Amino acid sequence: MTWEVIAPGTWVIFAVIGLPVYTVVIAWFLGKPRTLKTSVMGVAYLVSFIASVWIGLFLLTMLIRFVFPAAM
Amino acid sequence: MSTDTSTGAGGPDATTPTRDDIVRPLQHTQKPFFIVGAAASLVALLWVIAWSWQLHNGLIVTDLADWGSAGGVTWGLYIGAFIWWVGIAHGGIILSAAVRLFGMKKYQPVARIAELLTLGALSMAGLYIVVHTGRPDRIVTSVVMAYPNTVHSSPLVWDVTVITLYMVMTATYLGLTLRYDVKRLRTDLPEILDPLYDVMTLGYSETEDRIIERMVWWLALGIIIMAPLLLHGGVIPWLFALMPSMPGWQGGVQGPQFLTIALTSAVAGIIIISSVLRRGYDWYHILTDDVIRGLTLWLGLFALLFIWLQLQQIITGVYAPEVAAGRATAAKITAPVYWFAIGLVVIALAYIFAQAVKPQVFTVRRSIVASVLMLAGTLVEKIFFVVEGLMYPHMYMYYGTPGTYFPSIIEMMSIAGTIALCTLFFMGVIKVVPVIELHAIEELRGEEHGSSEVEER
Repeated sequence: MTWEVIAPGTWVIFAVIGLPVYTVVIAWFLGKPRTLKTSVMGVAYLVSFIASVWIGLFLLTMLIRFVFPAAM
Repeated sequence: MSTDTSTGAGGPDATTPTRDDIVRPLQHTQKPFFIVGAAASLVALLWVIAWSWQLHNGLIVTDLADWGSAGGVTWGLYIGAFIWWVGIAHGGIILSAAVRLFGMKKYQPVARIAELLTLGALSMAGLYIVVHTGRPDRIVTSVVMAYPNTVHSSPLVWDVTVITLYMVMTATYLGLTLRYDVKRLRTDLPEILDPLYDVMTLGYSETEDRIIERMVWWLALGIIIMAPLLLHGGVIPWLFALMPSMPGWQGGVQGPQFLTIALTSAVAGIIIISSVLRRGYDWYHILTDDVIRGLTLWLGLFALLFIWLQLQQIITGVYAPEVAAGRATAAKITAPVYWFAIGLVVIALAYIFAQAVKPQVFTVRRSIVASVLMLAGTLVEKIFFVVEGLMYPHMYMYYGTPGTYFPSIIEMMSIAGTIALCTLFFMGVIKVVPVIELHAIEELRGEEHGSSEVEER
């Protein structure tokens, strides 16, 4: 079975779903007009938003743990 | 504050949009704003209190704990509402991306409202993931630590991955396009927020405008592929469609079915917010009847596809189904709540069809009512879909579980609470950034992009 050779999530996430993201980033760096500064800024936006989403979620869940220790 | 009302030559008349129009929400606050804000805060607070009760006592207060004490239903209203919010989040950025990619200029004035709806609605969807778990404090650590292993096989992890990417791409899209507006409207924006605007326009130079425009075009392309085809037509329905144990959920039709529901509810959300904002800020000449009517027709098209895919599922479920699928379909089509949901959509469709045939039937108020009916119908249908799938599995592994599912008060309060939170999100955003793009105003005035001058404070 294909499943035994390569798990579905491996190609679904890294090949199919990743494709639009790879395309965007490659186009930012290779298309014209471009400047390295602006392309890097775009990547910085992506990375900082990923960090803020997950750090924000982590802080919310830690707040829940702190306020409601009895439920844990 | 600047009192300049012109962005170019020619001078504005009463119906010509100006930059003053789009900064009005940032400069003036009227009594209804405070009333709506107070009401939304109260509703949100009541729900937070109810959720606190759940956090203190555990999910047992909703009957969703462990194997469920409601006929085996462990995913109820919370997961249905999660899907609903992701759906609403959908149309927003897709509409905006379509404006940029396909030149649908007519809808440019609602593009940023739509983008913001995406962020607000996705945040509510994310909140539902937190709310429906028994141990929310473990979410981040368990997802992140186990990611290298679980990503290969868990649709839940695929879901988290794509929602993160979608949210981040939307926020980046918004962040990049806002640089142009903030730099040019700077003297009209609240001084108290200057530090924020400094960060938002860090390193800005006018030469970047064309580069950013190109980068945003590519981002729009990425989003318009990812959001409909891989998120709401992909990983979200796969949470259900890949489960062979639940015949009510399984099947490839769930991809397009989820997508049509998402697009229906998203356009409904945009119609409501746009109509409210145009009334609140006297934007009748920007968010015109023509724009609302166009959105209403799109709403009708997506709702029709939604009904069509329901038909596909029913006919395959009653003609010659295997036993469990037939039982699940029979339960579905004999449930009054299912027909209630479909009925709401059909009533709204009847209006949309009537106004398409006879334009004088159209009014914005009727389109708002139709949008509310669509949102209610899609929410009920999604909750029913989740619950029914669990109640009619292939094997009765929950057979000994007593009771039937009905949403608890706490669960129902979460709907009002998250709508209130999303309202507060919008009310906050319209006081920070212009929710109509400066590009849209330039377009309506027949000016070239970039014709507005950069302002420094």
